[in-house]
Amino acid sequence: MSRRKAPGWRVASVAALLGLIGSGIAALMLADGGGGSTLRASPNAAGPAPRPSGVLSPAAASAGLQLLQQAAAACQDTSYRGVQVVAWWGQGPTTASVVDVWHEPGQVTVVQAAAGPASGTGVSSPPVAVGYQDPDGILGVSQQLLNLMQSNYEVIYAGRGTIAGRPALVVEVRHPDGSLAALFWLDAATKLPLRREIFASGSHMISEDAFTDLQLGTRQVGASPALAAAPWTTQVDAATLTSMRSRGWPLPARLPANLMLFSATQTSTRSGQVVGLSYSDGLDVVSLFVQRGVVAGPMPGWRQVSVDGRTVYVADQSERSLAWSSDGYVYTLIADAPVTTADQVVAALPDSKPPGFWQRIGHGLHRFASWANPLRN
Amino acid sequence: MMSHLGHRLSALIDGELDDAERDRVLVHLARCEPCRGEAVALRTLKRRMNALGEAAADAALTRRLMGLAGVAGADSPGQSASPTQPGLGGGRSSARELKPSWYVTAGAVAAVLVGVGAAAFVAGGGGSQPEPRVTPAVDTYVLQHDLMTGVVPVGSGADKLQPRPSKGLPSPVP
Repeated sequence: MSRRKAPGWRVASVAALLGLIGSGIAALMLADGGGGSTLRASPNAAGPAPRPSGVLSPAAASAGLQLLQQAAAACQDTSYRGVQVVAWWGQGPTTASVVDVWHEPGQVTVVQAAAGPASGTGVSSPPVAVGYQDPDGILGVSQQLLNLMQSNYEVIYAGRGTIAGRPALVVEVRHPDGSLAALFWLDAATKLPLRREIFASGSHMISEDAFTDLQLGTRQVGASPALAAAPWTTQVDAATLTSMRSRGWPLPARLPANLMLFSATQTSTRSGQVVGLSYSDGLDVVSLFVQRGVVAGPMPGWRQVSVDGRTVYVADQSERSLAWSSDGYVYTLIADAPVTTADQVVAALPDSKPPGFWQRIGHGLHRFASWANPLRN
Repeated sequence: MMSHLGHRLSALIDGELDDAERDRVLVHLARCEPCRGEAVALRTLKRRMNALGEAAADAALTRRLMGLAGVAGADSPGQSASPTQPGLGGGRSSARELKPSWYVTAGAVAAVLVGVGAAAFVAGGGGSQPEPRVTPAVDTYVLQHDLMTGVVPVGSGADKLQPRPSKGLPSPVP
């Protein structure tokens, strides 16, 4: 694993991160802070972001979707290297990262932490390179997610802006009731996504991701570091999912808040088979990991809470991770979504209740069968 | 004593041979003293067995008729038994003889079912926890989520993987 050696990059990245966090805090404190930053086309996170220009029209809606589709294609076809800042403004402590990103067409996108930790900000700095699953895009812009987004949101071209000194096109994503869900800034020349802001209900911003530096072209990309982690490669097809469901595995095809299953993988670990399911409505993304067993107990750095009457463990540092067990299965939920959405997902999954007489006998017979099965996991 | 005729001798006694085979067996018997002796022994045995079967049938019929008389009350044994006597003589007698074994079989099956049901009830209860106790590999799951969904890691498990990059990753399913 090669760490980055250019100190200038580190300084610039940390400075950009601190500036970003500072502007976010200022935005939270000011109800109507007029933005002077070239990085912010939407004013702040405290109030509904007005459309930068123009009025809603069918043409604007069509243009907005078309722009995001071009952005998804650009994510695949463009060679680039950049520095990206990612911040999560959840209910718990804010988390943020600065990462270097490399991409060349036909290859996985490589991400590596760009800087050391910045004190007092909850910044994590993973100096390990990981590779996105091809052909997913960046900043959540991929054709797969766009298909879901089209079903659940209105996508509107809102005007022009500027990000990191680059001319940008602004696309709004709105709920059917008209409230703001997300803003995208796309590079005017290449249509690459440069910035994304996601809002919870009440237009409270919960996440912002942005490139603070971007270089285009194969010559600029250079050599990316060797990958230390890659996605699970064993895909679970529809027939296998159906078969596992018939054997009792709780693998829902959809979850509350219009979250649809769009990816299923599996792997085997020392604790048994694990199935990873990813759901999205086009904007919010959650992953549910299911395995047999019961949660061993409280984990370091986690606290116990009650969600819909069941005991759930929540990561202290970032409330996007939840774990609980029910009916002989352990669930781990990773949610890039509002807390209310995560709670809805928890409540929608099976809950343990005292079994009835026949149900109890059925469970016992099922256990006998599983004990007798030499191929059981 | 070994028979030269084997199973054909018993077939002869039972009248199951065709004419040609019967003639050949009889020719052999005419010349073979041991086989003749065995034929006599077989006939005697068969006769005694038949006699035992009739005695058992008679005794069973008697008990059956007495039972019918007791249930019928004022009906005379002759009136109630005579219409069914030909049929009951063989069939009910056989059923009567099978009942004890049937009871044993049914009892054994019931005992097995009750035992399995009780064991399943205990095993299916919440008191015992046969499922493995699991500490979710959350760091790995967060990283996997980031990789699968195209979201850049935010405080993800990637940093946790640094000291042990090879151990922290799940081994793919072969």
